Amino acid sequence: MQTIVRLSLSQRIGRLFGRLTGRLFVWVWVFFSLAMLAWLILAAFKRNNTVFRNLWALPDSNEAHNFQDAWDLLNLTRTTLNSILTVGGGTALTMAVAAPAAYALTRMGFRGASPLTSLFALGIGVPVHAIIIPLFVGLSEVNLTNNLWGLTLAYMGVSIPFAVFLMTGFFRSLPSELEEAAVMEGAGPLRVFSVMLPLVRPGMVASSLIVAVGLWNEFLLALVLTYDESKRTIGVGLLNTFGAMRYTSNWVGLFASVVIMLTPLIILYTWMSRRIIEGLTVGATK
Amino acid sequence: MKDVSPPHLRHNGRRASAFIAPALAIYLTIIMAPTVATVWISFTEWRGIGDSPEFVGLDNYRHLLRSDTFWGSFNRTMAILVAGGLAVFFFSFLFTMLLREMRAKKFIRAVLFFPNIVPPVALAIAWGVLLAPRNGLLNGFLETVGLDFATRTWLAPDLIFRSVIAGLVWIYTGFFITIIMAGVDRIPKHFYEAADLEGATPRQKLFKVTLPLTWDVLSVAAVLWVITAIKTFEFIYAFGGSGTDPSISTWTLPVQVYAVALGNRSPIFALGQGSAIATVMVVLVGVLVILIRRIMRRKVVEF
Repeated sequence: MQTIVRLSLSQRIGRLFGRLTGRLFVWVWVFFSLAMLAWLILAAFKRNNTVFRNLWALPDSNEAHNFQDAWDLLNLTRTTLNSILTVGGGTALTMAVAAPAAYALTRMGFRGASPLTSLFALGIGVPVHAIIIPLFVGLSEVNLTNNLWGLTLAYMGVSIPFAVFLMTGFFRSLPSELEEAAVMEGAGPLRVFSVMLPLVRPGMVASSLIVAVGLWNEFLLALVLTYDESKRTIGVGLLNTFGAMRYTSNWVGLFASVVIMLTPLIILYTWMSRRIIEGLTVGATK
Repeated sequence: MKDVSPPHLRHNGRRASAFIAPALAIYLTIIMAPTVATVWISFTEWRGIGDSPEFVGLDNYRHLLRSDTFWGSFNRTMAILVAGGLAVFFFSFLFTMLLREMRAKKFIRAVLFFPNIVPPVALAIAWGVLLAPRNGLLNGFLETVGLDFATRTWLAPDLIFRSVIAGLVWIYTGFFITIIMAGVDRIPKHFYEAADLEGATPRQKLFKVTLPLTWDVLSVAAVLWVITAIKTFEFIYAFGGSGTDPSISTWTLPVQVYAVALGNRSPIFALGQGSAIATVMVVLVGVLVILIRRIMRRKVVEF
């Protein structure tokens, strides 16, 4: 009897110890991620000649001109505008076509809805690399390379599969009473859709955010489909700034560029992270 | 065929098609048609616009099979898939279990997810600063705390790809935690309470309660990991070359497609070659996804 009690006590201590080690590990990981972010932000305010000499020092002067450099390095006025146009346009147009499609696939109960849903889902698995060569050739045939409209169209194409996938998850989770009531009152399909759409607002917000963040961070399509300096997006700008580092060695300028690109994301994220994260999981768990 | 749908839904096919057509048309034009074209180009030799594609049958694939560069890229992609995958899923599960009982759960999850919304180029820059051999944060930290013996040249050819995988694990664990956690959160508490009453060990709870009840979510997560692992490009590209052409010791399949077909400094425009590698990627995704669905298909436990 006594041995059993003692065993369970030592087991209990063992488990407590295990749990504490586990928690410590979690906090180390969290601290590591936050510390790296903090280091980059602080480094953006340091001097280029001392930034790596004393890694853990706080900025001793406010080197705001780093941000001026970064602004020029990124050609920020131009690239931000291009990114806002293509990412904003791409996201809005994607949602405009993905929401009705997802609605019809989940709620209009027609034959072929299920294979069509799978066809859209298939697109999630297609790597951009498997489309980019013909896409470049095809778009240049119709004079849409080096063109922000062409890039927007490509952004729509690559975003539609995931947007449809997410939105079908949201539409599927709606109860059917409301649309039945609308149908009873003789509402046509477009009217029923407009009744249902406000109910998936959280889904629309989450999907738009996920699509927009993905496109904002993207550089491969922009790099291949556009080539004039004046057509660059902010993602390509950051890549080029990074690539130019081996000649300029302006590290603090690079860090300031990163901070500039991260700022809207950090603001958005502190405000909307729950929506983004929960939005992402609806598709996977419904 | 007898129509068994409820009356108000009958003859909806035509109406539905108006809702679906715009998305479908763009999807087919931008994704599906180019994918088919890529497979076709992979049977040709083509230097791009201005050159006419010449049909060469399976030559591009034969060339790949004999190319060490291709097998290097292939093996590194597999290393991400398998080694990276094991690490990502191990940590995701561990964190999900640990976070279940922690009060700061939502905050921690948000921090861990954060790298997934950061531009991969920025992540590559951060990872480079962390691992730089001289003046890097990691080596600097190890020296500061007196662990000089543990410092390494993390970016040397023999270690750089492991550094890449570690970076990917750091990024993607946050993403898979959220998905797996969403599955685990659906499990009603009383299952665990019942298990506790019967004196179940944490391991028993994992294998008898958590795993069976999250199986469908895990299957989705596994499929997403296969896709992610095979197509992940931007972080590797930016990290491996510091913003320019990456060194060959970091090439994976997508990096090689980019390098041989599109390049940036000295492109060789081998579009047939590049398309063949891209086709291999598509086939790889297809085969592995089907395999996973097969292996993981089993009766979903209703609860």
